[in-house]
Amino acid sequence: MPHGRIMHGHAHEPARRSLWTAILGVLAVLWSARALGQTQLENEIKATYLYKIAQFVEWPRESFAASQFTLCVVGTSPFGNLLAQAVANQKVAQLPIAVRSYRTITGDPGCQLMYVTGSPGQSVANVLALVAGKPVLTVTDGQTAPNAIGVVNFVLADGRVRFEIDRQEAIKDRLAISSKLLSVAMRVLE
Amino acid sequence: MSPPARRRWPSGLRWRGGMAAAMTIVAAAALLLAGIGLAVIMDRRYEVRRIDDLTAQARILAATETAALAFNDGKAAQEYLDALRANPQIVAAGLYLPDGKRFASYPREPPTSLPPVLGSAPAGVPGGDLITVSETVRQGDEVLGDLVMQIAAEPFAARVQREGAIGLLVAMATLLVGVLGVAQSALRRANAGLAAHAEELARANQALQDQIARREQAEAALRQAQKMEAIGQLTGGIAHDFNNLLQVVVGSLERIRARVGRQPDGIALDLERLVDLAMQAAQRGARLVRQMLAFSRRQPLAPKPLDLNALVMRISELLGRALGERIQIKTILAGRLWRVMVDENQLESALLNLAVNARDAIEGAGQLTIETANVMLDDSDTSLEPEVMPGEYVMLIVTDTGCGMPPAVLEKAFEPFFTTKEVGRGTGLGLSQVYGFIKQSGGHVKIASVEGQGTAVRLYLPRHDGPAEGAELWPLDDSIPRGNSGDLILVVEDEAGVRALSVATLRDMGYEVLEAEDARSALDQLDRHPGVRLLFTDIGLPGEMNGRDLAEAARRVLPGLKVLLTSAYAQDSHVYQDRIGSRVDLLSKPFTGPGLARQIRAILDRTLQSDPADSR
Repeated sequence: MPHGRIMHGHAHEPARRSLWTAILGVLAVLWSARALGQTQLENEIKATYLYKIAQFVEWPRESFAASQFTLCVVGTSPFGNLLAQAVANQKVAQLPIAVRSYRTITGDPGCQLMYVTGSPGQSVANVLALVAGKPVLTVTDGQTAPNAIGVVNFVLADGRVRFEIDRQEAIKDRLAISSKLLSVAMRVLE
Repeated sequence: MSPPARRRWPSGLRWRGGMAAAMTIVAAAALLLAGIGLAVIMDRRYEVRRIDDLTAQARILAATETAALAFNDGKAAQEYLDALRANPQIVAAGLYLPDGKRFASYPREPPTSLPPVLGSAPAGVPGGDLITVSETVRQGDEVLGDLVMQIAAEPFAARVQREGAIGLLVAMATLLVGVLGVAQSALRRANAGLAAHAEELARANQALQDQIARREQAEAALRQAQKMEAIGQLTGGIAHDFNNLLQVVVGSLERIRARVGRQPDGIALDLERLVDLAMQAAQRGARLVRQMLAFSRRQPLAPKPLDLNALVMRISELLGRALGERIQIKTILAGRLWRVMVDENQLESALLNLAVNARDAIEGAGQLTIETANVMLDDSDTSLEPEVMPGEYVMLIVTDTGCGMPPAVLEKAFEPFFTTKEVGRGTGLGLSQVYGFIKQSGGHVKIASVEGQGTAVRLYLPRHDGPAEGAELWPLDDSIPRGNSGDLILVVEDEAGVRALSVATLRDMGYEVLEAEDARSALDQLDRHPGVRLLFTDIGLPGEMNGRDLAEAARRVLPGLKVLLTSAYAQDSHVYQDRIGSRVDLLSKPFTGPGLARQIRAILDRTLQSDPADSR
């Protein structure tokens, strides 16, 4: 551990460097721990928001062939089992919610809501392109590139999780978004 | 008289008036109740509507707040709540999270009435009651929170003010009903008054009509009476003149007869027959004159108390023989019949006249009924007869079953010389005698007739209080009493013929006679001849003094002087007392020589005995 290295004292320079490194390391650990706490809360909110947003959206009739509402996470999942906990006992359009995770997709897996995080193997834009025009409510997180923004895009503002809505995209995907949802959106892209 | 009657409404009217007043009150009360009920209902409805409005608004707001609650967007939630400013009625509103914590509020500093945690009791309410509604905020099935809204309950004063318009309307309507009721009642009262007036007018009119009819009847009766009076005066005047003429004729004939006896037999017989014929004619004339006088009520009457039942019994026997077999006579006599004071002979003549008329009216067999009765005539019976006094009367009804009379004949039945009999059969004086005699006796006559059924004549004679008297005034004596040569008689008469006849008759009888033509010369004679024992004077004398005045003046000069009055207008009894209480005898014209002789002898003889005037 760094302390032991300071206790050795073989050379001044490496020792001093090691000290600073150790201090920085401790700081980094402390910061990252705080950041981890923040992220944890943020992810909880986002998990809740996902099914709540779904409640303000209407899908075309044919998209509900299955007797459940399928919520998919595509790419690296930040939630762990937070999402499963959040949607347990919740319903969308009177259907129970099923959560699926995909690292990558090659076609439309039949999800009604798709939280796209991307992964080293498949970019967000690539995933969005695959389901473009399909009745899938795509949700992205903090994306800025125009081709990487889903119908809903989470934004962190003033320390709060807000969202933007792309209505053009929603219309293309034949999704009807409630004006109530629009009213609480931070920004609506027309 | 009856006490002044208070004016009252008929009971039915009073009842209707009370009914109307009660109905007016009931209507007004019903209106008032309906108004209050309406106000209460409207108030309730208004309250309910306010709550409904509030609930609806809460629902809308709750629906709007879903996303803000779902995404924990306090700013958006607050903006929506701030919009409640538009409705000033809203006191407070609060948006609560599912865990009960207040998420946003209106106004931003909420009053204490809005609980900080849902379900906790509000900490007192400033300024009166609040109406609170709460609405659950849901998105789909998910409960996102609760919305609570509060408005102030309307204060009572404001509600009263709001419903005041209705109250005013109701009050006005009630007032209107009351005014209408009062007006209606007044109108009904006025109508009743009018009706009563109309009835009164009708009654007054009827009374007037009755009065007019009665007056017309009375006037007709008066006209008839006046006509009869006029005819009576005319007839009386003629009769008087004729009486004097007949007096001369009869007197002259008597003197001729006295002289005829001294003529040779052959001539005497012839003359006597002629004198008898003339005498009969003169006596018939005298009878006619008597009937005329009877009608004009100027005949001398000798009334005496009489029982009519006895008279009717007697005369019905006489009539039975006179009228023969074909006419049955029936008498109906009332018991305890009152007495009357009437001239018996005249009444007999009257009944005979009526019987003769009945006989002439009955063709073939028939019936004559004579009935007596006591009757009372009151004002209503006599009001149409100006000459009839109300009182007690004895009624004598003579009814026949003859042919009756038409009204036109009936109207003139009592007029003298009016007759329906053929010329020579009737004088037209029969009913006139009845009429005049009954009137002169203080009674009256009614005649009723139905053509083809018969005639009824009613004679009413006034009741006399006193016993019947059967005694004759003087005994009938056919012998002619002679005068004494010492008896000096003064004859006063303005008619020279009558005077000459009287003087001659008295001288024939042996009296010494002086004569005068008027009262003044008579008094001169008495001055010159104080030995005059009897004054024989006509009542009707020219000049200032009549016969009665002369008699009184003479008695002042010669207190023991006896007086015999004579008159064609004798209306009094034969004997009466003059104004100084002395007895006066009266001889009615036309008188006969023997009648005069008997009367004068009786008077002169009376002075020799005690004066019977005292005992009468």
